[in-house]
Order: sequence, then structure tokens, then C-alpha cells
Amino acid sequence: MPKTQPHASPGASGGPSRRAVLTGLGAMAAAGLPLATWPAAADVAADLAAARKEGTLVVWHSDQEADVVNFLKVFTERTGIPAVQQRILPGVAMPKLQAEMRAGSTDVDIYMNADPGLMDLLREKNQLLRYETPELAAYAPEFLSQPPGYWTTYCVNLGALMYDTRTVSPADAPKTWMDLLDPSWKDQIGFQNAAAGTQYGWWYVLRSVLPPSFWTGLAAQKPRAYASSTQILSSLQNGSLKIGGKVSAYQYVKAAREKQSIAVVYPSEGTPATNHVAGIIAATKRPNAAKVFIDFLLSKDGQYVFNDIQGSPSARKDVVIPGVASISDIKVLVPTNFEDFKSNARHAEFVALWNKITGF
Amino acid sequence: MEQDHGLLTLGVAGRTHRAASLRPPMGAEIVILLGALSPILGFPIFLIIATAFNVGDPQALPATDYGIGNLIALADHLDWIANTLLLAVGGTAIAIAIAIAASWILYRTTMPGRRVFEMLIALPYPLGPLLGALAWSELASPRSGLINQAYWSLVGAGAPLVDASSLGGIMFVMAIFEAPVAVFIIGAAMQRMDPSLEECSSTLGASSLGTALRVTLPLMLPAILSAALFLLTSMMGAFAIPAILGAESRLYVVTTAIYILFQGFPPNYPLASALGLVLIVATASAVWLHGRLLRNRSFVVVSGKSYRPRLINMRGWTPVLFAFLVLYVAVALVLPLCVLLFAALQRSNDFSLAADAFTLANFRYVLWDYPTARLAIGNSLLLGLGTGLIGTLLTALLAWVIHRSRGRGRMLLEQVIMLPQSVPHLIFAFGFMWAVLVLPFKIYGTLWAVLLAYVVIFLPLGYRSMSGVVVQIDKALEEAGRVFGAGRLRILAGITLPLLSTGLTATFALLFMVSVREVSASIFLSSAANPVLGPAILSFWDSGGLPQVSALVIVQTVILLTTLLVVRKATGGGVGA
Repeated sequence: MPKTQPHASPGASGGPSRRAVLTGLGAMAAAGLPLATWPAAADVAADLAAARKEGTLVVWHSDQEADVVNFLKVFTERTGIPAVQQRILPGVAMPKLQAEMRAGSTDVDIYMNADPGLMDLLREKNQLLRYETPELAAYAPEFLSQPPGYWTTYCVNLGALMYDTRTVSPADAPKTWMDLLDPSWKDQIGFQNAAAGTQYGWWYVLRSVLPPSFWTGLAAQKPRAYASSTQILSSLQNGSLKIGGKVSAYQYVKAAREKQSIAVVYPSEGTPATNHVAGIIAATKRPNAAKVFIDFLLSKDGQYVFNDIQGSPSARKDVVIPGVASISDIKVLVPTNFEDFKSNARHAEFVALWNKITGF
Repeated sequence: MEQDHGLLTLGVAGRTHRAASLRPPMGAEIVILLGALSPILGFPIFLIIATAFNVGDPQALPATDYGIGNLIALADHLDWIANTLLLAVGGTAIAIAIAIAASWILYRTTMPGRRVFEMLIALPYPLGPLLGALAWSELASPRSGLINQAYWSLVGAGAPLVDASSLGGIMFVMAIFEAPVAVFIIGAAMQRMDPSLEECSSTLGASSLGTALRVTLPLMLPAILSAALFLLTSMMGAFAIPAILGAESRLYVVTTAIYILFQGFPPNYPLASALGLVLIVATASAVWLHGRLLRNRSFVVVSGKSYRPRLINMRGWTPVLFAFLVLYVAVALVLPLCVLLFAALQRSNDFSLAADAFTLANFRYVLWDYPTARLAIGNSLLLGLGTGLIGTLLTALLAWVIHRSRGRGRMLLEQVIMLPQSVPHLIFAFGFMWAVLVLPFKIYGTLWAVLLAYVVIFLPLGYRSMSGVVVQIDKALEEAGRVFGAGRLRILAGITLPLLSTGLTATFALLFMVSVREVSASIFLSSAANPVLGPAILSFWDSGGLPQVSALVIVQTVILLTTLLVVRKATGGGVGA
């Protein structure tokens, strides 16, 4: 049976009186202070019948919109719970969520985020509901929040090099990250912009692998910033870009399925891996539906459905998607100091540097 | 004689101090309207200004430490401001040149097919900046644009023929999609122009072209300045076109910079607000300059009376004029629609003419399989209807009060109404989002918040549209009704509303269309449960492929064109292009 731990907050222990809450909210709002939220009443397990009556589940994510739409369609078919989605990158989602929390209300139930560091900041602020689905047992500790149940990895994103073989021959293509500094790639490299969680994860692990001169050299190459890896792939295919400097590896899987001429390179220095993680927003108005969603997303069945749609490796060892590279077969780079990884200061350092590199 | 020259002319401005001092005190209706509108319009702007001076925690609201550090920091980003001003000034100049030529051809010459061209030239504006940006990124990308590919296939590989991602390219695309508004403003003035001076010029032996340049053009100056001001403020706040086209060339303007400053985590609200402040000051300065330029001019030769100007037969020049209009319609309407329709029918980003490359699956996806699109289409239609209805009634009331009441405060009320015109939509929406978040009742995340924002940001547009109608209705007609014993309601139903009906329908159609095509303000105010078309298309462009986003844009285009046709039919061709 799933185990749910009540959060250490006023609401969890019976909650304050209505008068006290209103008085407190008024005083804090008048003082311009952030208003804390507390988890919705944490039931022991998800109640499917109740979930179906809670209304439409609201999911925020930073994945490809079509992938999540397709996954939600399966989710609704299997559970009878309607769901809507909004693609919103972490950089936009976090302040918006904080603003909504400060106002005391949010419609978001599930947050799927490509930056586990930011998710852990939400956990620290008591803004995530702890829900220990029995599926957690199938995940290694590095894919779970600590303590488990706040957020869990639902796919692993590998940030690889990519190119179209019609415009770049395999012999000429870069084999390492340092090869990106070759003058022939000047003005021809594309990355995601600073709002992308996977771009932050990519930079974070490579900053300790590559020499500092790499970043000044990369800035001199004048790379372009894209809103998504899909846009980078489109530019590779139409010939307006030669090298995808960091493209989510699932783009290669999808291109290969369509028999398109896209090639992927996992550089010899290692390929940064970013965990995409999902959790329940503490102020959820649909707690049962949110738990049913987490149950399904992290289940063997749900993991196969999601990662088959997206083309990413699952964090579950018992889920293998045909045509998708296994993380055990690639030299994968992951953050080793999670406290540093999730810090605001490190994020701010990245935003400043990355904006400079991409000409902003 | 009072005359409305376009969207931004201050109709009640310019009264002498002595005349003002003789007017009755401020009426109750002015006080009520000022009291209702001022906080809704002023509070979001106040929040933006306050945040621009926040030198403490960048995410704190309200700020705790104030200073001018953010304004000083702008010195490191003068390129964003310079790009914005260059694009706005250059784009306005191109659009005005197109509009003057097109208006003159449409309304002052005997060129055949003018009615058809009048409709076709109006279409690019309601179809919106997203259509223009997406289409021209495919047509004129410097490395892969279809035009460049065709050029290279003829002359061999080399430098691109056209580059939509350059400053000039972005300027051009913005100009061709904004020019229809200027045609609307300048064309209206040309149709109402007293032809006697032109006839004098011809009688004295001037050629047709000489008369056009030396007489017609100077007479049109107030309308041209009004159109230029509207375009300048609109282009300074433009977002979708520079965001999509500028990505390839790493060209940033103030609005795209603000968007990026919001997106990175942690976000830099103070610097973004300081940038917004720069735009507010620049736009307000342009409005002030416009008022100064027109203040002491006499417009009596451009009267509100109905004239039928003499049409000029350009004889041998007619094919040249015809070709000019054909070229404009081709680059602003036909080519963009064709390329997006072609993209929407393709299986992948890898365009091909092979039979198996074509599919209707993208339309099926956006209309049936992609629930966000269905929700967004429904919400945008609802918002269009709501904004059209509320905005039309509100602006009709405001125009009526300002132009019919005699008390003081009318100029102040008009300035308050025009306030949102000085603030780019993206920035206003940002302040508006903060404002609705601190309201004691929850409307953030609902369609009501988006509806309220639309009504507010389109208030100047709706007001100017209704104002132009109200000033043309002679008070004598209502007074005649009163003399014959009709009550206020009878006068309203029997005289005023019938006289206003065409203007009301036109304003409704205008507000409906600008709401459905809106992008910048909706980005911060729409939500997962309540998506709207503009941000849905932008988001889909972010993470979907071009075929699917093109299909969504084509669907949006069909909605807008259908509205135009219905309105045109309902008004007997009087409005709606």
C-alpha cells in the first residue's frame, strides 16, 4: 500500500482556524511577505473513484508538448481522469509558481521538471506533497528525492552532439566537446537557451570536465540559443545549422524512427545526463488524481508508454525501450554535489555565463 | 473644427486655458469613469516602475531597497535599445511609405480592381505577426530560406539573396504586416479630403504626380503622423516577429530581452522592468511629440464633411500602380499563406514535393488529437467575443461622454484611456499579472483575467475607433429629436444607435480580431487550464515541428478570415476589410 507522510506544516496537523488563516494572510500580504502554502490533506493512498470526481488534472512540464499530450491521452484512457498540460520551462515556471503560491492559490497539480535542483528547492519550501507510491521501490536512490516521495525521475535526458549527414560528413563531424571549438563550426552551433533545465545540467557537469578556456572559446564560436531541442533539430534538417551542440538524445531516436539522416555523437569526455523529475504540488486541488498520475507515470507500464513516446531511457532497470541507448552503455556524466547543483548562486552563474556565450 | 485624424490624435486636446476656465465643473460621469479606470490602468504601470528601481532581492514584490542601479546597468545593453529603436523607426518609415502609396492608389486614382485590393491589403494585419514571422523565417532564412534556395539553384551557391533574420529583414516583415493599419488611417483621411485645392493645382497646370506630391501629401500630414505614431509605438512593443526571426542572427530587442530575462532562473525582474521603463518613456515621448507637432496646425482643409474627391486617371502609370499593389499582396499575404499551407501539409520538417510527403495528419492533430488547440481556439473565440462586446460598449460610452459632455476633466479622462498605448503589451501584461495576483479575489489563471487585460490594452484602439464615429454624428440630429418631444431612450434607440451601428460593428470586429491574434499579453496571463491561441502557437513552435504549428496558424487564419467575411456581409461591405 502506498505510504504518504504528512508534511511538517500547520495544515498537516489539523490546520489553523479559518479566522487565524485569514488574519495571517492579510498581515503577510500587507507586509509584502511570501505566503507559505501547505500540503493538501495527505491520504494514505490514491482513491481512484474520488480522483475521477476531482476534475481535470493540471500538469506543467518542460518536455515536448506533443509527447506529453500523447501520454496524457493514454493516462486518461487507463484511469478515466481528464488532464490538461502546459509546456513551461523551469525558468518561467518557478517564478510563476512562486507568485501563485504567494497569492495563495495555484491550479497546478503535477510539475514535471527538467531541473531536479529546482524541484528540490520547492521541496525545501514545503511546496511539494510527499507521496511514496509503491513504484519507488523500482528506482535506484540517485533517481529519488531525499527523503523519497517528493520527486522522482521519470526519464533520463542525455545531452549529446547531433548533426545531419547531408550537411556534415561523419568524418568531419566533432567527436568530442573540445571539437566544437574548431573554427569551421563558427556561427554553426546551436544550444538551448538559459531557461532550459537540461542546458543547465549540461553546463554544470561539463564545467568540471572541460578546461575554463573551453567556455571562452565557445563564446567566440557565436553559438545560437534555441527555445527547444526540437527547434535545433529543425534547423539541422533544413540546413540553417550544422551542429547541435547539446541536443536531447531522444531527438535522434525519433529521427531514426522516421529514417531521417540525423547522426548522434556521445563524446569521449562523457555525455551529461539530466534527470527529468515529477512531483505533486503541495497545494494541489486534486490530490487523488495527482497520486494516480504519479502511480501510473512511475509504473513499469507508464514508464514504457512515456519513454517509448519520447525516446528516452527510463530510470527503471526493468524498462527497456527498443532503439533507445541504455545509460549503462554510455559514459554518462551526472552532478556529484547536489547541494551545489541546486543552489541559486550556481543557477545565477549559469544564466549570466550562458547569456553571454549565446550573445544575449 | 474638431477632427479625428486617426487612432492617436487627442481629440479634446488643445483647448485654450481661457476656454477651459469657462467650462462647467467636472461632471459625475467623468468622475465615475476616472475613478474606475485609473486604478485598473495605473496600478500595473506603477508596479513596473517600482520594480525598475528595486536594487534588493530581484524577486521581491514589493521591493524593499530602491536605487537607480538597474537603469545604470542598461548601459551594458544599449544594443537591445538601439535595435528596438532602429527597427521601430525603420519599420515605421517603410510601412508609412507603403501606406501612402497604397492609399493614394486605392482612393485617389481610377486604377481597376480597387475594391478587391482594398480588401486584400487589409488582411495581413488581422492575420497577425506569428503568421508573418513563421512564414518569412521559412521563406528568407539566410541559410535555408526557400527564396534563397531558388536563387542558389539559378546562380550557384553564394551569399543569400534575402535575409529575414537581419535588422533590415525583420524591419521589412514588421512593416508589411503593420502597413494595413496605416492604410486604414491615411485612406480614411484621403476619402474625406476636400478636393478644391487639388483642383486648383490642376487648373494652374501641375501634373497629377506633382499635385499628389505638393498638395495631397502635405494635406495628409496629420493623418500620416497619427499613423506613424501608432506604428512606432506598436513596433517598439513588437515581440513575435523579432523573437522568431531574430533567433537565427542572435538579434535581440527590448521585448525579446525582457522575455529572456523572465525565463532564466533566477529571473531578473528589476532589469526587465527597467527595460520596460525605457520603452514606456520612448513611447510616451513619441505621443507627446505627436501632440506638439499637431497642436498649432489648422486642419480645416481636411474636414469631417463628406466629399467625393476627384479621382485621377494615371493613364500609362496605371500598370505600375497595379504592379505595386500586386507585389504588396504577394509578399504580405499570398506567399506567407502559401508557404505555411505547404508546410502544414508536409509529413516532416524536411520539405519535399514527393507525393508521399503530403498529409492532412497535421490538421487532424491540431483539430482533434491536440486538446490544447481545441481549448485555445474555443477560449480565443470567447475572449474575442467578450473583448469585442465589452470593449465596444465601454469605448462607445467613453467616446460619447468625452465628446458630448461639457464638463472639465474630459482631456484627463482621454489621457487615462490612452495610457495603455504607451506601454508595450508584454510589459503591461507583466505588471497586470502582478496586479491581479494581489487582488483579494482570485481571477489569476482564469479567462476573466485575460479578458480584463485585453479590454484594458485595447482600450485606446477601441476608443479611437468609436471616437472617430461619434465626432462625425451631428448633434443637431439628436437635438431635432428632442425638439419633437422624443425622450432620451427614444432618441438613443431611434437616432443615436442607428447612426452608431456601423461604427459599433466595425469596432467590435476590430477588437475581436486583435484579441484572437494577440500574443504578447497572453503569454503571462493564460494558463494550462485556460490556454489561448497566441501563446499556444508560440509554445507549439517552441517544441513542435513546423508542419504542426503551421496547421495551427492556418486554422487561426481561417477563423479570422471567416469573421472578416461575416462582418463584411453584415455591414454590406462597409467594414471588415
